[in-house]
Amino acid sequence: MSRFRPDRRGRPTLVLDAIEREVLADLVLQVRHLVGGPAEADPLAGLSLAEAGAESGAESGAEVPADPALARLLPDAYRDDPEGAEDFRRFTEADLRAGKVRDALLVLGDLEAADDADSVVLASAEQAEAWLRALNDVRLALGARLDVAEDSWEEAESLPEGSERRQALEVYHWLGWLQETLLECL
Amino acid sequence: MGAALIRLTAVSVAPAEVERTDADEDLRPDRAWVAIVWNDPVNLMSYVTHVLQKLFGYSRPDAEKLMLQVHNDGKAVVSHGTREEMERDVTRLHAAGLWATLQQD
Repeated sequence: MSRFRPDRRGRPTLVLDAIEREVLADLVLQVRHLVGGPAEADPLAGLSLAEAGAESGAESGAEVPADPALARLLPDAYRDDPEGAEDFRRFTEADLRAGKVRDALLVLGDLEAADDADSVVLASAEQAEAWLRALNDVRLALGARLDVAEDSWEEAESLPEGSERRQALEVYHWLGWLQETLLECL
Repeated sequence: MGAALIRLTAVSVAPAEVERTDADEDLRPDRAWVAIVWNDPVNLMSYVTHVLQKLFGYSRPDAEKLMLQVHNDGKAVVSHGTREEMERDVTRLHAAGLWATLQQD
């Protein structure tokens, strides 16, 4: 299981194998489609990975998204004030979505560039922050889909090896490991 | 508070009754809103600490204290200010993926 490590100059560096890269790119792309809807001008639309998750278009309204994964990525800002929450959403949601799309595209670009060099080096603090946010968005979406609890490690261990949920939880834990090791590099 | 006093002197020509209404309105504390971060099972403790340091300039021990409060008590107030300031903070917390809301203190 790959993780971030500091390179000789202290920059966070990730060496992924082909399967890990594909899994990560697929999930990031799904988040990108989830929050942004399939964009015509998507420079990555030609990739074979682009099909995954493209069906879940984005409708930007004042309502809480019905999809729990999207609802977690775009939460209400007011707990007991539906009207305030609606207004807030109307004025801020488009920017929130755009920021998440930007982060996802940055990660996808880095992963694509890593195709040849086979390692991702995060050279700037901004790039590292974008990776942290993008990894977190994937974990939030996946966590909502899997309805994870805080004991998800124990749960994974208790499931039969190779079961679909166990595999999904293992990916979820790996993403947490990536995020954790990236933070350790900063 | 300071702003309210300035306003009172400015409207001192107004009839007493109106003046009192203005005062009641203006004396509401203008920094009585808070931004709250709620516990969720996904966000890593290390990431929450990192975000609180990054967004609000907390020292690491202070950020960790707030993170633990979120983790143990289910929520923590991470910022105080005007409604507009808290809306801005909640926007930034949402951008970082934390589950945050604002409310009157």
